Amino acid sequence: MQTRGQLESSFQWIFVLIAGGAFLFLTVVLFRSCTQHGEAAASGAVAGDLASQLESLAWQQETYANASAEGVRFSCVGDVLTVSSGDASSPIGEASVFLPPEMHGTLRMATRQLSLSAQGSPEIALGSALYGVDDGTYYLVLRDAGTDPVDLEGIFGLSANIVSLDAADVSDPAKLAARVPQTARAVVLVSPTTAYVANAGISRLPPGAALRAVVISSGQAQFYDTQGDTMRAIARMPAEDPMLALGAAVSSSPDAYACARSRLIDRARRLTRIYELRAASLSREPSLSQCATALNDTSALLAQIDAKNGTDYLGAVLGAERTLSSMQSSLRSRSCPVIA
Amino acid sequence: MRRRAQLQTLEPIIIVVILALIVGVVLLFVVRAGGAQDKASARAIDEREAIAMLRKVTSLPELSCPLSETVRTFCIDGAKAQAFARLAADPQERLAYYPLLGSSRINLTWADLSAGTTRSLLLYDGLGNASDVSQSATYFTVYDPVQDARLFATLTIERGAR
Amino acid sequence: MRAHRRGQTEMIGLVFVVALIALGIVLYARLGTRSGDGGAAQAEQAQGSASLLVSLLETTVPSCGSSFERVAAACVEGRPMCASGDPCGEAQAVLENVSAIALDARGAKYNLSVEGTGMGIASADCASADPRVDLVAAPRVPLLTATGTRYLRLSLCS
Repeated sequence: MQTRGQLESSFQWIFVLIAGGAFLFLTVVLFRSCTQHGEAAASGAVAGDLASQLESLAWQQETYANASAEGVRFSCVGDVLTVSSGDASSPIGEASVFLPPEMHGTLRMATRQLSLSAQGSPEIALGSALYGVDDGTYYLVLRDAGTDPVDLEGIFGLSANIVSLDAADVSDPAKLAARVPQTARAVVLVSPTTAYVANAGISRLPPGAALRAVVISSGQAQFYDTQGDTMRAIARMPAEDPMLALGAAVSSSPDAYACARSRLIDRARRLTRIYELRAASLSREPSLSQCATALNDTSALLAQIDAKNGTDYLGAVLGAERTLSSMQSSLRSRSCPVIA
Repeated sequence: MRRRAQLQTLEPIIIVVILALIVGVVLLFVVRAGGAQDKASARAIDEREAIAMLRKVTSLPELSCPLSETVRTFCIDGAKAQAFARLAADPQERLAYYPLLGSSRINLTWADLSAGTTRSLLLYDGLGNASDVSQSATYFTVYDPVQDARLFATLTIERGAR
Repeated sequence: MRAHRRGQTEMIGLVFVVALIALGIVLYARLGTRSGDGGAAQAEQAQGSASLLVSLLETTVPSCGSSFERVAAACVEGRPMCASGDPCGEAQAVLENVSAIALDARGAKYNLSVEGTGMGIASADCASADPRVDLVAAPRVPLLTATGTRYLRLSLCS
């Protein structure tokens, strides 16, 4: 009897252990499969999400948005704009996005359309671009003879980190330092001439801040970075249109500017190709015979522009603004289909 | 006596088995209910994304009606659509629109009521071998620059799984 | 006696546990397998219907050279319009064509009409459908006329 009682007790305990162990195993397996479906590593998610958001916004027109993240970098790798956070990176792809090299907190973004629009003529769209200014970066726009080289305030509104000041004040370190707090992580000078950049009183600007400059003049953007206490010219790139000049000021880095400019040109080329094909096909419609000559001329001009290579294309299409716009007006006044 | 002893031996076994069954059923129920909720959320997201896709397509300058056309709602220029379809047939060019249009197939159908005909155009095909394809359709007008008329049209979007 | 009562208590406890399991299985069968598709499909129908109406208003009526909205307004106001001089007939033809393309083609049960006029087409008696049960969507858009606002309505029923 006593043996049977002992055996019974042992058997019970063995079974409880086996059943309990199986139950624990099931719980652990379920728990692990749930967490595997959870979010990706934090850095990858930040870079990927921001890249998607930027890509999506850049295709829209006249849109505003903010994004917040710390320690995010934007760079041009193999002619592809890339968002990096920690070791993770994500490409932005085909969109034209002008961004500063680093994000220190909040990125304020706006999209604008590139278009041809001479006075009195419906505009001809050439694509859109996204511009982002970082709240940790101070943009000092040097006003010369009452004119700003770029209209940052017009796009982003009055804010603490977009400062318009008289060009003559830039050589006064005290005046320069008064407009830039010690908390600034980066400072960008946007100037209409190289003279102001060369004489910039940068010695009293926050020591930890990255200093860069962009000179916008005669359809060109000259980029500078800092070497000791002086500004050093690093690259010159075309900026044929105010929208491109804005992009140069905002990105303040030749590589990032080049990436975004390439994407803008690619998009504009696709659009002018579509307009060319459209005009050509409409010129062959029998019911539009009264418009055939005008449509043929439009198609021929666009084909001529489309045949230009990358660096000459943008100059050609922007240079033909008046001609294309007058063609647009003429077609409209004759009740013919317009270009775009 | 013997039977009672056997029953007593089986008692803890039965209790553990029953407890495990209860916990298993509850867990299965929670996982299944959670899965159903995920499915419903995914469907709602799919629907919102389809509507957003329609807005995106019709706001592209590559397809939108001329600004001189008074539009209250979505409108696609028929001649631009044909030119765009020709461009997007090239895989290299189509790739440029993949970040915007993604894994989807976009078909445009419009009715020429005067001729009594219906025409279809494959605008974009980035679907590839995508599985779990969902379809949505909405209505627009296509602007025909030849007739200077607005034609009733349907835009059908097939989207592949993300 | 005490042992007997304890045995009874144990049996009651066992029955209680089995009942709990049965309840759990029943709940799981009912709630876990119910599909939540209805709401999403309805919302899609409503959005599609609204866009159909707005697009219909902007569609150009052949031989009138004007939008459906203007031609329908001329019909309501009793003004002559179009090459045939019959805006009501022209608008009705467009309603029939569009409903064939957009609604008959997908087997929908509908009633598409300009309220308060003879313009309309129906594949089913949606007007008397119970809105809580059978009416899937019934969007309407305003049609502005000199004699007041009429509504172009599309009723979809199941």
